[in-house]
Amino acid sequence: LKETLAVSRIPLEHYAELIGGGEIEELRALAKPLHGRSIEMINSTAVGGGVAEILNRFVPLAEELDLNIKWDVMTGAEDFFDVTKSFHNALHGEPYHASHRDFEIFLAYNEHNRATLPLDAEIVVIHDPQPAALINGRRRPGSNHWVWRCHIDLSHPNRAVWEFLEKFVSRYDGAMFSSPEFSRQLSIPQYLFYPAIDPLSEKNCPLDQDFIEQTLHRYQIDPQRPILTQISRFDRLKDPVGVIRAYRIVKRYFDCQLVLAGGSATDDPEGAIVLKEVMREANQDPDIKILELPAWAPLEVNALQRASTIVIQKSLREGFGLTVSEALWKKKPVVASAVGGIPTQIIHKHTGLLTHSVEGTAYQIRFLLSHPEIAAKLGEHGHQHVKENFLITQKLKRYLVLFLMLTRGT
Amino acid sequence: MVRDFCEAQPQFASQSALERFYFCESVEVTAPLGRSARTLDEFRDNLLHLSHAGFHFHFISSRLRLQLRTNDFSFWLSDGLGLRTLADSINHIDIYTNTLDSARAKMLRLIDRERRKN
Repeated sequence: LKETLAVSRIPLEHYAELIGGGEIEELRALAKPLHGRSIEMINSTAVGGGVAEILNRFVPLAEELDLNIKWDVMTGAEDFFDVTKSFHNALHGEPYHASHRDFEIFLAYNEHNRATLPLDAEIVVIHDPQPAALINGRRRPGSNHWVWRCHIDLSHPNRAVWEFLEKFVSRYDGAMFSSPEFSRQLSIPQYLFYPAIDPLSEKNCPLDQDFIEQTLHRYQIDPQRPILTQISRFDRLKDPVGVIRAYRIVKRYFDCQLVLAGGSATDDPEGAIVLKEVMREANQDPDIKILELPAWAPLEVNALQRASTIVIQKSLREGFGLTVSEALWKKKPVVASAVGGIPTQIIHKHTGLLTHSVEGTAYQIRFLLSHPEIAAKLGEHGHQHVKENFLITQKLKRYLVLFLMLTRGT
Repeated sequence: MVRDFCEAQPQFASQSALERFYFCESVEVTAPLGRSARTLDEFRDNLLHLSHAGFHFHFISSRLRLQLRTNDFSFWLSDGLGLRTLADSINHIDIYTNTLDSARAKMLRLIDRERRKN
């Protein structure tokens, strides 16, 4: 039942060309006192979604620093993921009435995984709410170090769901949040951890122009006209319908196209319903391309982002919104909602433009289409901002510092 | 100051902001990199390969340790090599309008100019 992941490997030294050899040297210096220490990362999906994507790159890099790290995925059936998806939305503030049965299902799957996962590493990092109750598997307080990594925005959670989860979270040795605004008042230490992108992954690496053109051709996207793109799962919190409405306003002034491209994650049963809503709103407009990509289509996503004139992220709620950093890394001008972790990535009028409504989104897109020189400048600044803050090597460094703090004296 | 202001302007004391201020603290972990310099050439070579965090530690956060008068690099260039003019020029690089990379590039240009003098 246990799923241990095969991960993709790029030598750490390959990053030196992008970030400088000094960064790699620093990582090695920080990792040295941690050699041989065991670390276990646990989340709820092996593919799809930002967490799996990060772990897929993070784990091999940590191994290169001689950390004894492994990544396990908890298992669950449809009823578990239905409940955890509802919890996810409720924690983001959506109305939800949690039943006693929901909590039972959640606990039953956590208990089942507790019995099958090793949970014996010196440091155990649990990602997101789904496996939070695995803390029950800790032998005794202080026997090893447990930290909870929360990738979602807990600023306005559904009270019942949060009160249920808090009982588990408060037993960890620390909790990591993507922004101070996402955190709750807790009795345990909290750490600020920005998520990160991998500049050498297939999703972010440089691409041949030929491949980009072939991708546009395959999806019948015209390279001669402006391309507005939102890359996101088909999820109401990403507001794909709002993006179409903003596009329709822009379309009155510019002959542009809209690309809505998204994969699906194994822990998101709602995607198909939202996709239908989006199709209905698009109403067969030939300039709206709705692309349902496979769960893992990194090269296509990369090509679509690189081909875009403007990248949009019009989320209503957001964890961190790593698609923003992906676009900025590619020097793309980004128009995005000022929610979740997006304002950390988009410094308004410096690394992109922030909006608060459909009309505002449309206005900023029109502004950038009219001022391509400003759009280019925003993209340049955005690239530098990501390089200094949101690359996977920075994330690795933060983890090393946390591990050093946790193991100090043990 | 906050107390005096609130006493003088009580109407502002309970005013609510649209967005909260979140108090945070940072933890600094200092790790020796095993690199050192004795000459300006060696210093330049190490500076070129220093990480962002290393550069920030010596050039930006050191100003608080050195009570805002100088930074680690300028202090060593002046004290260790006697290059006071170069040290001053480097200390005057504007850390608010430069990125870490652009500040380092300016520093390298100043060092290269100094090396050409000799």
